[in-house]
Amino acid sequence: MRTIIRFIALLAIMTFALAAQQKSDYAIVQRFQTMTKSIAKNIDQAKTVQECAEANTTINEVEKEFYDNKELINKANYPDGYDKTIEQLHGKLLIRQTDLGVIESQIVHISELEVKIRELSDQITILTNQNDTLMAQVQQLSQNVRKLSGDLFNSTTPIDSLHNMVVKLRQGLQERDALIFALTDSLFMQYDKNVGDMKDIEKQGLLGKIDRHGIIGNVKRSILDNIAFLETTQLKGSDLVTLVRQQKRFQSQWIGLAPNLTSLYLNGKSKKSEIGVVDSMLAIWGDKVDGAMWRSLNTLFKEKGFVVKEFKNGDEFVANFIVFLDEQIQNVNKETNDTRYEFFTKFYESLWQSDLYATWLPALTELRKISDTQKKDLEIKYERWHSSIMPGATWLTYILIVLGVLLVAIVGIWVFRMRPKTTQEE
Amino acid sequence: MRITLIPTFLSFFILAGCSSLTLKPCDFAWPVESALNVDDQGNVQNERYSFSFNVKELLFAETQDSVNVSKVTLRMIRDVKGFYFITASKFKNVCVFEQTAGGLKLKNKILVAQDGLNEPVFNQRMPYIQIVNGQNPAILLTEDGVFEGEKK
Repeated sequence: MRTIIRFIALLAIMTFALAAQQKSDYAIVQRFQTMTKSIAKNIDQAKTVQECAEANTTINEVEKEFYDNKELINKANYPDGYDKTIEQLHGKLLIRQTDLGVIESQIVHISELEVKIRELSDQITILTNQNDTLMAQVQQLSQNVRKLSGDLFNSTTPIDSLHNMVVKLRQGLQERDALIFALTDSLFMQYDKNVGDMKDIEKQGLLGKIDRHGIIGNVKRSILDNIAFLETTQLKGSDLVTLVRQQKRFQSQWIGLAPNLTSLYLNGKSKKSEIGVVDSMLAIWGDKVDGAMWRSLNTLFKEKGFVVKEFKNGDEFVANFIVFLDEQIQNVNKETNDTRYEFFTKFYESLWQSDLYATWLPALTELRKISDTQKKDLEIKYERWHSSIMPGATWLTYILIVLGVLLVAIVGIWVFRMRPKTTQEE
Repeated sequence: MRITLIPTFLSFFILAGCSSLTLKPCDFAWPVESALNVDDQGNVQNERYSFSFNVKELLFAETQDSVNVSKVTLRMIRDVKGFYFITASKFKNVCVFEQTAGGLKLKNKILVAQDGLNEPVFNQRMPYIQIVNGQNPAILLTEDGVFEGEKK
């Protein structure tokens, strides 16, 4: 066993060594030279504290990235090598900062944010790739399921792998959405002031960063991915409610961000129109997710065997559901008490308790699809239906209780009389 | 007799010493290869080491084309002994040159890719020269040929 482990370890080391060796030294040195030249140019052109901080972060990154090739670069990067080049860049930046009157503590704070921004940006790229792969797999698997079952995928589809993948993809999309807004927040935090108070040069710097990190592109991509996810997975019930929540959260975050972007893009018409495009895309996503939600709720009633007229929004849902409840209360079909009781029990157990009261009504209120008053109206109607059925059963219950009490009393008296007499009584 | 022999021996040793004076050890190795673009005339210039030479004959020998030379990028490196290793995309061989008066003289041609190299790069792996061709395993070279002992 040890030999096998050693052999595997050796193989891994050899593979790593081989991969490492097959790099071109020339390419490494060229990359180092290109990057350091670019940093030097950026330092020369830096006009704000943020640009200095960005240069500082980039120098640190280059230092870290090429540390393992230090020896090679010291020999090959004529005449300054690795150490001297890095030292010169730090020195150059310090001079520039002094010229601009930048305080070191500002640089440290903004550099920390810059590091965070770059990490977030990298994470977004990684997550985007992971989500793409997952989406392709989910689409493929969903197609297979449809071919096999002839039905659309839902959370109860007995294919664990597909379900797990859908859950993973949903989490990935959520995480990515959150990262995009976290990245945007960090970008604005670097400037630590309202867009209106920024100098033109700061606005340009921030705009450059927003473009470089593809904020608008990422937001658009997220919306498209979420729509594709919605259409691919055809989720139902609470899963769908989660998606609606996600859309609302995304929308509110965008509403917070859009005015700032609009102020930044004040002079760029094409860029400004991009914000309008995002608004439209968000509206489409909202419509689609709402449509899917109402379809899912309609289907739920049908699947459980309760006929409620089809609805497409909150008001229609409340109105049609109340019509259904009224019919039950008024017993328009003149059914017997037993049938009504049975129907009510079925409604309570299969729909009200498990889905409507537990999931849908709170979610619809939270998502402002129905108001609190509408929710209360529905609950009152439900209670009325309940009590319209219960009196028959209540009479029976009273009779049984009275009979029970009488029985207990008779048995008590009989036991008391049959008790053996004591010596005193004798 | 003794008077005649002493100057004779002395002059022999002095002259012999002057004619075979060798400075050792020497390290001619370049840390990294140079990528040299060929101009319309077939000339390449190495700015780092300040020299130039014409490669038309070499290109014709390897690619049978000495007309369309301006798009070729030569890869060149010098090993620790001072031999120059030159190759390029589409070459089948790595050509080893040694310096002569006013020129480079072909010492050896090492066949490394029967179908021609794709994206060759040289690395200095003293005492060898490593050639990497795309995703293919790297090969270690000396001026005499492929180093068989540690084929990678």
